[in-house]
Amino acid sequence: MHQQKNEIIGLLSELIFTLLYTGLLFLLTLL
Amino acid sequence: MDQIEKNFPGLRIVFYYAGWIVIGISLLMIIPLFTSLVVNEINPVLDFLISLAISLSVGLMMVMLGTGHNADRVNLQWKHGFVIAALSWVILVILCAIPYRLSGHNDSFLNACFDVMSGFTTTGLVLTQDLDHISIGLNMWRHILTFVGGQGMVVLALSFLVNQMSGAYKIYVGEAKDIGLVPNVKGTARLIWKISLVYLIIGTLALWIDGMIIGLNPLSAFFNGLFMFSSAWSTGGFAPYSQNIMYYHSFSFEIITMIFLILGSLNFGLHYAVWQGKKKEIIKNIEIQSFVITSFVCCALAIVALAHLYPDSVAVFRRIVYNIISAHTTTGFSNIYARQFALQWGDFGNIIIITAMLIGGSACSTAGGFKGLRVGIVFKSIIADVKKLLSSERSVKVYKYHHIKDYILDDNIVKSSSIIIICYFITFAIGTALGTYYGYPMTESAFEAASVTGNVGLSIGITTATMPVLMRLYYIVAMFMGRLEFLSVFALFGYIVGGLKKLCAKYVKH
Repeated sequence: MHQQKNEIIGLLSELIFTLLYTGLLFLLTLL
Repeated sequence: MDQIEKNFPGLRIVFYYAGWIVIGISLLMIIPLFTSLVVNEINPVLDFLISLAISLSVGLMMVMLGTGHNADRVNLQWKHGFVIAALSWVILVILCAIPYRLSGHNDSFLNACFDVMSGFTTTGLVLTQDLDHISIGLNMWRHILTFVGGQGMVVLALSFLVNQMSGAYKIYVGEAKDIGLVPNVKGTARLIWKISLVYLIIGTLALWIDGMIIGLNPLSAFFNGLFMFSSAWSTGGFAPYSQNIMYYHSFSFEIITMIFLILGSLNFGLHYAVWQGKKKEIIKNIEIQSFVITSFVCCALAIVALAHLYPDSVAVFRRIVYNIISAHTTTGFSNIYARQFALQWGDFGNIIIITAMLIGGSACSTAGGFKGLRVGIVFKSIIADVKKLLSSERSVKVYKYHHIKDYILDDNIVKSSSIIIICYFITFAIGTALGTYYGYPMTESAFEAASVTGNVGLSIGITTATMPVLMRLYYIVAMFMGRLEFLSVFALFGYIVGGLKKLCAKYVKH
């Protein structure tokens, strides 16, 4: 259970990281 | 067989393991076979049946030749591991090209092999003709090849087929996947597959839903989602249509694929560490830092130089940033026409994209290039050397870098990283020279050479079914070497040359 929770959190944090990075690049183009 | 083995020591072990890998990958043909059956395509069913029969026979024959009385599978040596990895790639490229050739969309077997090598190495260059009208079965096969190639064929075969695990690690390293997630190889291979399959489900779902929103019918949206995901995650660059990702004309589709192609270019070790609860790894890891810095700088330079070409910032993001990130992660999805790189982007734009292609993604990921890890290591070692020079002569300082755990930056690591970077540059330089020899402009030759060496798949228009045979051959070899990171290919080459030398020596004696 603990392991699965970790995996889901890990998956989400990776997704959020890439989203943030994509957003950052988008901001760069706006500037 | 015994006679031959005297010249090629360990040939039985090589055949035994390579045979199993061939069988394992051949069995994958069942998937496109069933797909074709389901969507009622008769000719592709026959193509895959014939190919499956030939490949299984070849695999079984190799295993049978390998199971001799003196097959000493326990003492698999490093050289054998490397030779097995490289040899099974060569054999599989030929076998997996059979359905391509039978489909009638390739006018020579060499072109079919080119496409298979492009799939296995997750490059994404295409010589197949009339891509928009190939069967769903063959499309499935193309994307399975790129998906499996990304994770590693050896990884797949090892995780399911071979039970004697004694020497498996050495074959696994031969495929340029040198990270141990868990102590045993089978576990590591299965974890790599687990991570990929979890993302496969999420990514296909996301693209399927988005496909329906942008107006595809549900079945077509599913296949498009599945195909585009496997290409994006494997940093492959294949697409079911000749216009690549431009076919969809969709900003949302591009954003979703961009997220998965960045994720696919990250190290499997990193995915595993983060899934184990080490979330800080995302920020601390040297590969992430290297990727963020280099890709950000490339994007910024490209935007400054090329922004005037496009009307607004959304267009700039879609045309410039998307293509740069696609090049940097070695994916090769492109939403502008190949000739636009040459005619619109100009020399400076091309230099940026060539740099991005050569740097590539992370080590032990699905990406190509000489990898962010090595760029980070070499860069840190330069800084360390300058610091040593400037500090007092008696002080001894230890320099470290962080990749899953802290490593000491010693000369051996720097040396092996530099050797591989140099090998990439040599392959790239020869490719460029070959292009100019056949009369292509310098920048365009360099672009295409960087694309094959880094397993990217962006094209500036040189890669066509009618390009010179020597260039097609060289591109196949460059993709192969770039993917297996040279050592295995050199090992196979040395093994064959060594054996032939012995044969010649005997012949001369007689």
